[in-house]
Amino acid sequence: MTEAGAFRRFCKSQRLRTYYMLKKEQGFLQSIAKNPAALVGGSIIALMIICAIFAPWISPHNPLAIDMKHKFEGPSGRYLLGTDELGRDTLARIIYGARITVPIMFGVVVLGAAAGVVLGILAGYCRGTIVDKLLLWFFDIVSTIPGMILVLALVAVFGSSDLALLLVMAFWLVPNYGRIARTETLSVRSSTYIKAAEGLGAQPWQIMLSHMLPNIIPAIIVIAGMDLAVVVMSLAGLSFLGLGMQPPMPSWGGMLSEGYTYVRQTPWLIIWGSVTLLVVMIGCSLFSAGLRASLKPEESLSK
Amino acid sequence: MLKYLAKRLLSLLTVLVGVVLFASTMAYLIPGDPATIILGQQANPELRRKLIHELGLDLPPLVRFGTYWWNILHGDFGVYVLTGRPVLPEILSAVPYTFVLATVGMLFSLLVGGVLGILAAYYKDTLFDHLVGIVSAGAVSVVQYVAALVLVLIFSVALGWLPSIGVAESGNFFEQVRFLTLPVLALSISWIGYIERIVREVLAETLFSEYVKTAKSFGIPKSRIIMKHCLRNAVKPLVTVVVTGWGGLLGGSVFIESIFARKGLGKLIVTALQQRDYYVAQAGIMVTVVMYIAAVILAEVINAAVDPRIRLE
Repeated sequence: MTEAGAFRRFCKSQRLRTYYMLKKEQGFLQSIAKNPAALVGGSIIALMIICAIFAPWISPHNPLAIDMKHKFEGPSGRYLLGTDELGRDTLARIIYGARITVPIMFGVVVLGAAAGVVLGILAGYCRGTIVDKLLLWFFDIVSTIPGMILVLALVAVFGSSDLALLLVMAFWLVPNYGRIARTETLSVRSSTYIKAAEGLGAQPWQIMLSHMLPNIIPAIIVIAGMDLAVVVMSLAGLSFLGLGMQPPMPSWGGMLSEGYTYVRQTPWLIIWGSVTLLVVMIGCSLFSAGLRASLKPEESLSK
Repeated sequence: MLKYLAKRLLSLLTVLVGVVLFASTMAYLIPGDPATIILGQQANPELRRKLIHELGLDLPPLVRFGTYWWNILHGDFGVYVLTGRPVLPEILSAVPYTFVLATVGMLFSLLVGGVLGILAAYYKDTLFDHLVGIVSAGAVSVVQYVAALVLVLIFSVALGWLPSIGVAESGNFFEQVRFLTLPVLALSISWIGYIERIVREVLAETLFSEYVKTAKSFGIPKSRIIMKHCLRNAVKPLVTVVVTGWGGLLGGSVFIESIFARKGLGKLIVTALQQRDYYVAQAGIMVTVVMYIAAVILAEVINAAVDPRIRLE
């Protein structure tokens, strides 16, 4: 009875700890609001999400509507950013491009981070055993193959449906998160409260879930912010090479590739495609820099 | 030192084995078998069966796997499915082009990024420092293929100064430079930003250290302190980033080589994957990974030679 009671009290104290962490999170939100980099980056990401959700209402034209009389046009009152080789509205295609990019971008990062964290904690918890060694081996293998080539090879195998793209890119990101989760797990593993929980008979999964996971989250969020940019870039790159989203679906990489094909007819496709990608990339990296400043994972590491 | 190296080499070798296993299972997973690729979808079944038998595709997977490996260990990486030409010479002929692009690109980035970083640290907290900081933070976000396209748009299409596709066939130095300029620039922009940040951060950090204060109190000029005492601290992070980055580039810059229609490893692998020619793709990936691992080892050797503390770990 005493053991169970002690464990219950211990869990309560842990819940209190989580409560204080959440209170700190409030401070975290406030510090983001004060951080200009995070604010600008966050707004850009928010704009992307808004474009993705409300594309049919925001977009001035149908992105697939062909208007051969007005092909290769520059910006005008009718077509704000001009038209492509079939007279389709560039602005509409950029907005609808967000609609395809956003779900995959968040899906990949969430899935990759979740899988990586689970495997990383497992590896860290089973440190030195065959499980740990195999997982590390797996992380090393995946991250030794140059990223783009790994993704291209897997897309060649599994096809380029949205789901396949999502899974392939998430698979590619797993080692990043796995390594961090493993290191952080190792660093808290020897701390007294984990020993206490073990001594009180907590199951390994309980320890991993309620004690190790909260320690890892700040570092993971920072990496995830940067990976948003990486995923957008690779996704557009795949479509650029003709291995991602297939025409006539609007995609940012596809727009660049059309712009390259018709570079002598119109410079506008490359210009708008580049501006879109650059804005998104800068938005994601500002956001992640702001997150890093607010979360300070190195502080939570040394604690 | 030797023991340390042997240990690292062994662990990297196990990774290599894993990559190779991973790459060679591709042949069994990729949709569309070589017989279909050669004969097309509506092939005569009799002909198809004959070809499959000739190619040895009807053998059990384990036997195929074993033969494939036996051949690779004897230097035979298979043939192009469509043309029947052997793969290895084709890959080896692509390597020099990629090597030149990667090496020139990395050296150029190191030079420009390094100089900018040193200057930014020297003029720390001035307008120059802030400007370089903003520009390089932006440069890091520049996507390679976007940079390539914009450069083509400006320098090939609008101004007509530089060629947008191909590689220099003659050994003429100016010809080489003409064809390399745009790819190297496209490749370097983000690396320059990255290297500038590293150099500036390391230097700015060490400028506060005790020995720098001591050196200052002895009246040694700031430029000498930075070049002689502070810059050493940047060697280790730079070697790691630059040499492993170079190793990654040796695997071919898929986008740069595709956009500029340059011969090279990256383009070879992409083309092979697009045509579902998996022997070529597998071999290309293996070569890529071998070069990357070699670069990682090189970086570790240099660092261990520079910093004795690593050897003792």
